[in-house]
Amino acid sequence: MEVLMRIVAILLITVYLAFASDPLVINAHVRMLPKIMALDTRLSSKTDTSKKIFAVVYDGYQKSEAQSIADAINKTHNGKVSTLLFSAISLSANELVDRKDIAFVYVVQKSNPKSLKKIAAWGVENSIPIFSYDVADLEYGILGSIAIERTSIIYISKKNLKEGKYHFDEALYQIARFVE
Amino acid sequence: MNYFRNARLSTKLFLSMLLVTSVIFVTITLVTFSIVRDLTLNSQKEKASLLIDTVNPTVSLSLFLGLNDLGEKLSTITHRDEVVALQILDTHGKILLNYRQHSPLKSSQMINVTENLVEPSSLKPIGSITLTYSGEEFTQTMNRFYTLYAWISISVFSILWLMILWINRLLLPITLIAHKVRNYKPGTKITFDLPYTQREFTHISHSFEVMQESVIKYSQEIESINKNLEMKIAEQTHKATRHLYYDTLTSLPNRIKLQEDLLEYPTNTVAILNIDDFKEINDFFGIDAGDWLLTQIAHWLNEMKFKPYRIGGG
Repeated sequence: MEVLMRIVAILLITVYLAFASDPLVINAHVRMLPKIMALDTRLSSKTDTSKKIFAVVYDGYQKSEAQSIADAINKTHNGKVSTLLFSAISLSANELVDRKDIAFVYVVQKSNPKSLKKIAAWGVENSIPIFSYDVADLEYGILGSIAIERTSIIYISKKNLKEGKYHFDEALYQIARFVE
Repeated sequence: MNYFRNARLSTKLFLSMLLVTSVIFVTITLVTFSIVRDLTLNSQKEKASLLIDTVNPTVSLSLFLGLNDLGEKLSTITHRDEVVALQILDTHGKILLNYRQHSPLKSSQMINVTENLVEPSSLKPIGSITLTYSGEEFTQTMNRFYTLYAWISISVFSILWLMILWINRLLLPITLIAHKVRNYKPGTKITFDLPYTQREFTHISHSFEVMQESVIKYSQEIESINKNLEMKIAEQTHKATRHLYYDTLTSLPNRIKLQEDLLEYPTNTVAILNIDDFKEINDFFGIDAGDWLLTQIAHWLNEMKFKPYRIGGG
């Protein structure tokens, strides 16, 4: 019985770890993604408002996680990166495609591939940079992601960069790692 | 100063050339040194600046994004031997990266270039990057410059040395002419055998030859005048001697001559002949008759092979 309980516990922990976000990665994303948003050289022409909207997009039942990330971003940056005023909010994928005031999108972990493709298409169409938690999402048309390896690595999809006609500060291209 | 004033012409020429050449050479050297040093230094600074410019955006963005792999980002320049040190500070002076590699160069031989790091979007300062660049190339360039100028100096002063030899040779005829003229004596003829033909020296030697001919001509004239004068003096001396030792009427030696001859020949016998009452003859027949008589007596005595003297009378 005791052995069985141990196995069940290990399985539960494994399942939890498989679905839970890595705090280290989340922390890096919270610190860096608003700054990457500030590197978008065409940011001011994309929305009319002076305060830009950083959307943390979720799919299904991840609203709380998206909201906590948005809160963490607002708390860390205090609504400002350099001279850029912004606000992080959480949105569902369906809500996102109806909005016209979004400057940057971050997709939380384990989103549905269908939703990811939808968000990516919307991003390409409106030239809004889409970053996601998982580097593997780049194959669904997501522009980029940040992974923690030996150091923090910014991954950018070359194909999606061209399609979306994104324009970032040149220095970003020097430090980013491009994937086909 | 007095030495220079009294120095030989060749020495003055050489010292003047040495002075002028030295001033020109030193001026050119200093100007060239300054230009080469500044150009080389600026070139090295430009290289260092270019290196910093290469990594500045990356480093700025890495600092901006909070990436910690600055060392990796800078590996493109830190592997270069010329990069001695690289330091990145934030705006509070905190050292974010301090790379340093061993270099045998002194700190004075290194070039430090500092640039500000700014945020990519707002250009707000976020730190500074200081690159210490090896000045070895600068030192090598300057050493090549010193070597080059050492050779140029040797060449220039060798040329100057050859020039002093040439000047000495050039002015040698003046020395020869001066030496011959110094030993010149009237009556002798000097010839100027110049080692080479140079118009100025030919003029000088020709002038001396013309002067020499004039001197010879005047010497001959003076000699002729002297001979005439000597003849006249001899004649006058003869006359004076006759007047002193001989009687003008009878042309017989007088009493002074007799005294000298007696002193010279003391063994001779002297006979004294006197004409008594000769005054009566002068008074009775006249002085001219007396003079004629004295002249005849003198003539007789001479014919008789006596050696007569007249010791009386005027």
